Amino acid sequence: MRNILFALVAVLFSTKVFAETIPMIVTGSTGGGINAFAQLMAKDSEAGKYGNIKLDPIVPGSACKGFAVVGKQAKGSTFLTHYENYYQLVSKLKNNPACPYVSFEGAAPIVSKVGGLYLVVKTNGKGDNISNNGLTLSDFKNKKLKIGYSGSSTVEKEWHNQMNSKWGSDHIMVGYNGSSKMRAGMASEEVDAVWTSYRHFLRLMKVKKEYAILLKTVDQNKVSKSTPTLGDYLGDPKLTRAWLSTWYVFNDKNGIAKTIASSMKSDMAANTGNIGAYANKKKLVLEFDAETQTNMEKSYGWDQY
Amino acid sequence: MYELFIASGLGSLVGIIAGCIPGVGMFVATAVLYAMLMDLDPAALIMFYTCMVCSAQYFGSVTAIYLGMAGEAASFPAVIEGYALSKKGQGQKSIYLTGIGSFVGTGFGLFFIALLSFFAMDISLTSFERMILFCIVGLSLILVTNNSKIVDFSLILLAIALSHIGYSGNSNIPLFYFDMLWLSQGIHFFPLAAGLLSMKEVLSAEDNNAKKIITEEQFNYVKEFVKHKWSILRGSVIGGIAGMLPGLTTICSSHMAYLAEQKVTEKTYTKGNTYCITSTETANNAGSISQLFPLLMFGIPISGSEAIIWSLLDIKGWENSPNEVLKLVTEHWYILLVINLFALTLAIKFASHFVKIVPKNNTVLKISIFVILCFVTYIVGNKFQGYGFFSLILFLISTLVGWRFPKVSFIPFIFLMVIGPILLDSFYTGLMVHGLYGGPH
Repeated sequence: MRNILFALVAVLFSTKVFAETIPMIVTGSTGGGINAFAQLMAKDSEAGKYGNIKLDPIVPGSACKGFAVVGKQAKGSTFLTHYENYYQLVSKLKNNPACPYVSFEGAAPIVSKVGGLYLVVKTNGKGDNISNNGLTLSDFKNKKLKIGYSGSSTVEKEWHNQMNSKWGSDHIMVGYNGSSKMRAGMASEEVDAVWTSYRHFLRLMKVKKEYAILLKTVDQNKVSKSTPTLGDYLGDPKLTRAWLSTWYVFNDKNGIAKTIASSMKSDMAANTGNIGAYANKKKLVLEFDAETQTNMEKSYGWDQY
Repeated sequence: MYELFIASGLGSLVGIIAGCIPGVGMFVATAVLYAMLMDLDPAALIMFYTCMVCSAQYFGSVTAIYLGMAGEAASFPAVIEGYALSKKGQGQKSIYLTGIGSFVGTGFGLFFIALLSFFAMDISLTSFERMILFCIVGLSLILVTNNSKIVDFSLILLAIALSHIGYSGNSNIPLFYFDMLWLSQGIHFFPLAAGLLSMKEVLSAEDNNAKKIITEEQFNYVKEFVKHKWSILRGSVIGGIAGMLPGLTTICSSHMAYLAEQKVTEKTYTKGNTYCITSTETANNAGSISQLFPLLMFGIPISGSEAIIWSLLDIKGWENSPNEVLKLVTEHWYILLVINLFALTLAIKFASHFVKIVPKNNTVLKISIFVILCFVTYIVGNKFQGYGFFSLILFLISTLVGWRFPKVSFIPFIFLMVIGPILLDSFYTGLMVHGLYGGPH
C-alpha cells in the first residue's frame, strides 16, 4: 500500500511539474479584476475551450512585480500578459528598474475592454435613491472628505489634486494597495467615497445594497443616463479617466491570440464558459478585433485627456 | 460539482497519509503538494484542505491507538488514553468511538462556522482594526512557543524588517530592494516556511519502534454511542471554540477537551478512559473545521498549513467575507459529511490495514520530502517572482537554520512573514486615512 501511495503522489507531482503550459503573467493585484479575468481564462483553457492552449497564471501580486517577471521571460518565448494604460503611465513616469516599462510593440492583442471609473458613496441603507440620504455631490464642495483610490502613485495624486482644485476642497486621498482593499475600506466606512470600477461597485452591492454612484468618467450603458460625467460636471473634459485593459500574446507563433479571441467571442454570444458568463454578468463591452484594439491603445491613454 | 468531490477525496487521501505517518503533518503535506494545489479553485482548495485536516484527525488517532504514536500533534492525548485502551483489549472500540465522535464533531464544526458567519455579516474592519487584529494574532503565537521572549521578539522584528523588502507603500513601485533587482519582488514566505517548519518537522520525526496492538472485540455500536453522548457533545463545543486559537487550533481543541473530560470523570478516571479519548478526538475534528473561520472570514491564517492555503486563495482572488463562508458551508456541507463518513468507515473497518503504511524507518521518506521541497520551492519562486534559484537558496539556508536550532520555534516568524505585506498595507493605509502619511513619492 505504501508503494501505491508513493507512486500516486509521484505521478500527480510529475504531471504538474512537467506539464506544458503557456505562462500568463498577471500585472495587477491579487484581488483585482485583472487577476479575476486571468483565473477565468485559465479555467476555460483547462476545460479545452482554446484547443491545446493551456494557460498557467503567474500572479506576482502587483503590476510592477508582474512587469519584472515579463522582463525575465526568455527571448522569443511565448507568453500572455496584460496591458493597462494606467500602469503603462506609472512605469513610464517612474522609469524604475524594479518597475520596468514594457513595450507591447509587435505583441498580438486578444481582447480589450474600456472601463470607466465611478464615484461611489454610501446611502445609509435606504436603497439607491441618493437624493435624500447619504452624501450628495454638493457635499464634495462643502465638506472635507476622505476619498479612496486603488493606488497611491503620482498618477492618482495628480488626478486627486486636479479634482480638489475644481471642487475648491481639500479632500484627503487614501490610496489602497489594489481595488479589493479599497472596497474593504469603503465597506468599513473608513473612507467616505471611492473612485472605482463598475465591477467593484457591484461587489459592494452584493454584500449590502447601500451604495450609489454619484459620478462616472465615461458614458457607458452601465448606470443611469442621468448620472453626470465628471468632465461635464466639473466643466473640464481633461479630468476624464478610463481603464483600457488588453490581454496580449507575446511571440504569437501559432495564432494563439486569434484562437482565444474567437473562442471568447462565441462564448460571450452564447453566454457559455467562464469568460462568457462573467462578461455578460458584469455587462462588459469586449473588443476582439485586433486592429481596433491596437487603435484603442493609441487613443485611450490615462494621460491623453 | 464532481471537481469538488475529487478535491475532497484527494484531500481525504492526503489526510490519511499525513495522519498516519509521523513527521508528515498538515504543513508538510500542503507544502509538498503546493505546485498541484495551485490548480484548484478556491472552493475546491478549501474542500481539499478541510477534508485533509479531518481525515488526518481520524487516522492520527488510529496510529495513536494501535501503535502509541502521534501521527500529528493533536493526537497526543489519544496516545496516552488510546494505547492504554489497546493494551486493555479495547482498541477497536476506541477506534469506533473516536471515529463516530469525530464525525459528529465535523458536523458541529460546520454548524458553528455557519452560525458565526451569520452573526458576522455586519462586521467590516477598518485598516487599523485589521492591523490590530493581525498584531494580536501574531503576538498570541508567542504563547505557543517555548522560545525565550528575546528570541520571539527578535524573530518578529526580523520578519517585519524582511517584509519591507520590495514593499511598495501602495504605490506599486517596489521600495527597499537596495539596487538588487532580485530583492525587488520581496521575500516570499514559502521557501522559509518549507525549511524552518516543514523540513524541521520531517527531520525531527522518530522511527517507528512501537509494538502494534490490534485486537478483535465484540461491542454494541449504538449502546456505546449513547453511553458517550455527553462526552461527544462536550468535545464538540470545546473543540469548536478552541480550534480558533491561533497557532494551537486542533492541538488546543484536543488538549482542552481532554482536560475537561478528565475533570468530569475525576472520580472514576484511570488511564485508558474511553470518555476522555472520545471527547478529545471529537474536539479535534470540531476544531479542524472551526479553525477555518478566521481564515475565510478575515484572511487570517492561524496555523502553518493555513498560511499556505491562504497564499493560494489569495492568488486566486478569494474574497474574505461572511457571505462567501456561509455560501460555501450551505452549498457544500454534504460533500464534507459524505467524505467524512467515508473516512469514518475506513477508520473503523480497515484501521488495522492503514497502520501498515507507517514506515519503520523514515530515512527514505525524509530524503524524498527534501528533494520534493527543493523542486517545489524552485517552482514557487519562479512562478511568483521569476527567481527560482533565489527561492531554492532561501529554502536550503532555512533548512540549515531549522536543523541547527531544533529547539527554536519559528512559527511567529513565519506567521509575520505571511501577513507582513498585509500588515504593512493596513498600517500605512491607516496612516493615510488619518492624514498622517501621503504615500511614497
